[in-house]
Amino acid sequence: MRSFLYAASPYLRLLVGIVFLGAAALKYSMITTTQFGPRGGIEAFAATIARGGVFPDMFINPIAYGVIGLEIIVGLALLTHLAPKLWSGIAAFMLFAMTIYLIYLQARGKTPDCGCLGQWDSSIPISIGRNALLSLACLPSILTNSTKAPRTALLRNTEPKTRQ
Amino acid sequence: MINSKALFIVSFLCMQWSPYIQRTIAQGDLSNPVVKPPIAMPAPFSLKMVAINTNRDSFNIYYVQRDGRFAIFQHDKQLFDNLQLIDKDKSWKITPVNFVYYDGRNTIFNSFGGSPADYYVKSDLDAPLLLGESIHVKACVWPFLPFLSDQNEWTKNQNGTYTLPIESIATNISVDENGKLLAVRQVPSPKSNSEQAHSWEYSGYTTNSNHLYPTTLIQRFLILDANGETTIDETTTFSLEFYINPEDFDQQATFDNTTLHMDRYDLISNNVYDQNDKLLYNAEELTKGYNDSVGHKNPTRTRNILFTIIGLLGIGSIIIWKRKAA
Repeated sequence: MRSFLYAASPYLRLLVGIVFLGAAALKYSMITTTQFGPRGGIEAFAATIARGGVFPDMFINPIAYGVIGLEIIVGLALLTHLAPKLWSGIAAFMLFAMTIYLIYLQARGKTPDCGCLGQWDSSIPISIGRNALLSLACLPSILTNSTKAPRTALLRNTEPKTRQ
Repeated sequence: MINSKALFIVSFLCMQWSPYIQRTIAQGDLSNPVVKPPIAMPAPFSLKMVAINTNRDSFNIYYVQRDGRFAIFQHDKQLFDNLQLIDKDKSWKITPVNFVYYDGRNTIFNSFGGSPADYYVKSDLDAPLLLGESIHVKACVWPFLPFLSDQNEWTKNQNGTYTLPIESIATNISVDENGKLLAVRQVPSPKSNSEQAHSWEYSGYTTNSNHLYPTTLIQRFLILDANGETTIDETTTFSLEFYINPEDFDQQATFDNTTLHMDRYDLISNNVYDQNDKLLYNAEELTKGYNDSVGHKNPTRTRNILFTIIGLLGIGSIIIWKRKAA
């Protein structure tokens, strides 16, 4: 099992990293309509957060920039495979925090979408499900020490072949 | 949330039936052989338009009312998706817009605000709309009342009032025994117990500048209980005040109040034509103008470039991992 997790973890990190970067790209390229007229890019994402009505106005822009910035940083870090345990943990924590926010939005029931994937966004329950799957994808990197292959894997590779 | 398919059907019906309705109204032949509506249709149009924005991108509602009659225009982002007309986020503000019944005084009276309590009415377009300009989505109830009352029976309530249910848009229109409008209520059904539905009820009508306006908006959040019954989770009552600047009206163009505006959208060329097949505008160019206005010259291209970069980073990531593993 551990060897399977070890083998799968880089690809899962790759997946999570790409999703993080993709989410940032989609947020950056989104367009929406606000009470102040049409908005594009990060301002559009900020408007989506504002519609959620969870955060005070003064925090909306910092949160929008912060989320997109963190997604880019964590996404790139995951793709480099440097300190995978650390960055996968950060990614999982971000996903957890976002999921809490989404559950709160869903419980309020007053916002149809979260802007997580910009204009590709679907409903909040789907976003929650997606976050859960991505969190699971982070687990192998967190649970395995990816800088070293697990002992079972090493043993399997170095075990001399027995002659028949 | 009102089903977008229902909106589409209403929109389609509107396009199909508007000439018939107009003709019927013009001829004054509004009697229903089966069930006579308790309200009488008014004589020549002089509709007052009131736009009410629900502060949701996905769902803007415009009401037109006159003599206690309502037309409900719903501009729905989802509907735009379904019709594949234009970018779903295109702002109606910069789209040449005009309603089936338009009083020519300029405009849609636009209302934007942080909450329903902030509703106000103002003229928000740069110039009065021209005859022949059109809105992409038309969904109106008012002209359909005769037709709808053919299809849907007025229900007489115990207190002597009448209700006309319009199931396709989950709307009930209530009038008293004299035909005076009491309330317009939209009651969509929640689909599941995890998803709330919103209900709006406009009531308490008052006269302002010879037009009726609702003074109260009751917003309800509906949920399904354990037995599958719809229950009210939360009720909020807002007092509505409509601000009308008479100067806005004095500057408006004249209006042929019997003209019915219809348009035709060519899905291949993206051209929109009026009823005389005169080209009004090209939706694609409008989209471009819209994108320019929000600072995204071509969001699709931006997205594709970013995705390509991400794809290359992904390939690089695999190479890094393979080297590390080796």
